[in-house]
Amino acid sequence: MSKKIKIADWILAGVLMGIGLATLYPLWWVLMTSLSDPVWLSTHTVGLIPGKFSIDSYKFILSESKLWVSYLNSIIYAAGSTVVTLFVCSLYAYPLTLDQFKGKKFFNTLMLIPMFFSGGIIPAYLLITNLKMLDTVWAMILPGAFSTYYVILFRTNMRGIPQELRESAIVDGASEFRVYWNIIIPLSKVIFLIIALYCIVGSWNSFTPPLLYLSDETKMPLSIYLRDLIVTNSTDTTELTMSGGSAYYQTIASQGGGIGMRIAIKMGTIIVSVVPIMMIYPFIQKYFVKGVMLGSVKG
Amino acid sequence: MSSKKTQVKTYLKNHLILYLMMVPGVVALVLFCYVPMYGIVIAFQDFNVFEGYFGSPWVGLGHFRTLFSDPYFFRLMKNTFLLGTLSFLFSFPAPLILALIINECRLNKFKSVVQSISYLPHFIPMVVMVGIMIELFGSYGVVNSVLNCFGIESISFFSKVQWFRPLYIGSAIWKGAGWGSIIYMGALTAIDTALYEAAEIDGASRWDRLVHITLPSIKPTVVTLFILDIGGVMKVGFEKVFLMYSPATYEVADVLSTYVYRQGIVAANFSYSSAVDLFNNVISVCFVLAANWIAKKLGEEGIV
Repeated sequence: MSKKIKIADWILAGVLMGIGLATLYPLWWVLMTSLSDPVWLSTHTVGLIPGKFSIDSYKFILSESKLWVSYLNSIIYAAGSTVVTLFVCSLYAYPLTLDQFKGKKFFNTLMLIPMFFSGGIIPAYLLITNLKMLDTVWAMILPGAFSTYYVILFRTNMRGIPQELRESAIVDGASEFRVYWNIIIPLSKVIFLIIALYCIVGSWNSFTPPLLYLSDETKMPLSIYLRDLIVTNSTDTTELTMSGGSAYYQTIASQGGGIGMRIAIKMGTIIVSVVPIMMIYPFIQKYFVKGVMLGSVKG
Repeated sequence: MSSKKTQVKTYLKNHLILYLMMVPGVVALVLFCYVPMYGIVIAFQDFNVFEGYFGSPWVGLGHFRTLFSDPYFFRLMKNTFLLGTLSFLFSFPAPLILALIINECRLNKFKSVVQSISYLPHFIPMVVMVGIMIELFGSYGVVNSVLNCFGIESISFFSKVQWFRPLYIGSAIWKGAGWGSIIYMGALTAIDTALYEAAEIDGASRWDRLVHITLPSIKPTVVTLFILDIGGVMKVGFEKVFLMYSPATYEVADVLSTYVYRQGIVAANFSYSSAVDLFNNVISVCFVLAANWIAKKLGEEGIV
């Protein structure tokens, strides 16, 4: 019997390995294509590793100023929306955990209704227009500042903090805000970290809000830049030759590497854009998983 | 003895700060959730920006009548329903199967590595995933060069109508299966190991244990997610379709949400597109309620 189990285990492991490789392969392919020699790439396709390595595409990417502008924008939007969201949601959650707080039911209902009904994108777009927020950083930060899901996570977590701590601080003359600031926040570090990570990733990857609310090229985040470059191909050869790395691109193109260069640039830009998240991924993964688990416990 | 009024006063005096703490949240909620909800009235108006919500003339259900006679109406409904249903049919079981395989595998080190890898695509932005797909399946991509090796001519996957749905669903599984399995892994680790030990003593095989212990134990989780997902069938997301489709594939790819975008944001038909969006939302809610009702009939706990 024990031998039989062993075989089954190896089969399962084989299936899992197949799944793991299938998951990684597209990312590996992107990385390897970005590291290919453009001239070689114009006539070949990367299978596992390039026939000829080169970092030409990265030399071009580093000189591409539009990319770095959008990179910086993405960082600003992510930082701004994370800070605002953390405060708005945790401040809303804290009073909901107190026994003597009156109006809990009202505030709970107020935040639950939007989970079931929403106005849709057109009224939201008109609202942002009326608020004169189009093409401002506020349109990237404020509309998503309140999240019922995050409030529930905060509330569940803060309930675990003993009320005696708060009561003794109040007896000693501390205000409720001081309690929140000096007791609740330090004791909720983990949940703050988890939600901050959710916000950062969410903002970094968000696509529809900037598509709707931004039209100024200098304010575009990375996601829109990537779409223009990779998906719609609107950044074509003519534009590449006009931008920062023009001379460099033309040298490569004259050697017959134009097609390969374009593919390598696209793939290299993808790598550059996902690197920050991939680098910290091994360290933050367990917090994300924790967040999913916490969220699945109904608040 | 203090009267009721002074009681309220002292309560407010002592707790005012708590209400002040909620102000940012309430303002954000009202402004960005409730005001747009009110904004739905434009679906019943002939809205124009100059006259606003209060000055624009009312047209009742006029826009809905236009929608039902819209030449694209049938196509939009069919595409939304088919894409939603097919995605659901293939994407729903994937995380469950993955979680069960991971759970059954006893090579722990190996198992945790695969788990970590499987979560990774969740963090890849949609636009990057679609970009990778376009290149992988493009004329210089791996897929076509493999096809060429077998003497098959290159296929331009992204402009062929019949490939849109397989690519849409396949990539959804690639991106979501690992992440979706987390919730099942949580339910699986919560099963009392004593049950398995007892079954083993009684001589139950591995398969018996899977069927009679594991599956029944995670049934509530499966049912809850099933209801949630079935409720989302008509809510086909805008982002991914928008990134993947092109006029060449509108025939199968154009769904209600992308039509709302083109009609509303691109063509500035605010009232008509709001009506389409509202219509889509109403059917979505009906789906959730129907799924919930069926679950309750089958003796399961609902979600609403």
